Amino acid sequence: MNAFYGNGAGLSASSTTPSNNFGVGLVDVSSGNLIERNKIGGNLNGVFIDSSGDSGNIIRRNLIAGNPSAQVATDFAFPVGADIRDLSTSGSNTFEGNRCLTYMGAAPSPCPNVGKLDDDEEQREMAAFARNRLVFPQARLIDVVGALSHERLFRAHRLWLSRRGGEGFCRSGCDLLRRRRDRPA
Amino acid sequence: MNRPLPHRITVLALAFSALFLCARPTRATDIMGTISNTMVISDDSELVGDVTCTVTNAPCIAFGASGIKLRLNGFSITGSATDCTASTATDGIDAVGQHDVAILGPGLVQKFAVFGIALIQATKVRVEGVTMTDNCFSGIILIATTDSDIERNLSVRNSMHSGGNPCGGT
Repeated sequence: MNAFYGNGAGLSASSTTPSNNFGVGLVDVSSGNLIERNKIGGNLNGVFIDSSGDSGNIIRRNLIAGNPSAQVATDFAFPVGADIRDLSTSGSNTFEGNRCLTYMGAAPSPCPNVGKLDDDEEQREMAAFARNRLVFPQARLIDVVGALSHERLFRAHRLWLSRRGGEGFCRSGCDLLRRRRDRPA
Repeated sequence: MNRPLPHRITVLALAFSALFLCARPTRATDIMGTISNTMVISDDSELVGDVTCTVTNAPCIAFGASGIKLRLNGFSITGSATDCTASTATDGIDAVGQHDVAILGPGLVQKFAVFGIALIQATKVRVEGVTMTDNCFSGIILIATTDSDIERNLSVRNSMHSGGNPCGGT
């Protein structure tokens, strides 16, 4: 994650042209880049994509808000920038799951998007876990949660290991969790 | 092959010594104080104190080799563009045409007349944990640079004097 705040300066408060300054910019035929999980605020434009033919870029899961800042927006009568200012051809770049409010560019607009409940992967896991707990009667809950926890721990541990070099690293932790998971009730 | 035992021991000893000699880490260049001419680094280097840069029309620090790192160690590199009105063309750190180089924070690159960090025609560059502020054009700029990781950096208040040029944080 990078953070980009307060970058850019307008030419003149009386200008009727939006600024091309930015927090994160894709210019001069930039392609195949991933802009992910950044915090971008208070810039003249949060994310700026010019019209030179930038394509195949993925902009996802960023928090892009407050671009431009309230003071700048007040000083410039004409809209000077936006959270996302996209001058590229519609559909040539991908916007996914960004939290943003304002957009300048061709439709469809990815903003405003303030997210949805359970948007986040971890939040979904937690919510699913909570829902599973609630469907069982209280009397059976302890054993069920115990078994569920070991299974989930085992799966989470395996996932963690696979992201760090595969199951080859799985030694005592995996064995312990596997034994607990397979232990007869 | 039936070489006599002392001969084999000698060969082994030489090989072992060579291994140690080859594995010795490259000596790092320590950087601090005032830089008035571009400092070209050719081996792993690190800041051991704050740097004030008075170079004009050239980068303050430039990568002169591939496969090396510059560690900022929490110190700052400060240019002389305090109000972005001087007509110089100075960058903080340049990596031009290099492969597999890294600029590692934490650290601060500030007040340069053009770019804080310029990566030009480079490949596999890593910039991590660096704060760029008050640089007159962009905090970090990548021009024809590919396969690079720009991660956990903070770009603030750059591009105050870029005029109509498309500049900003990164």
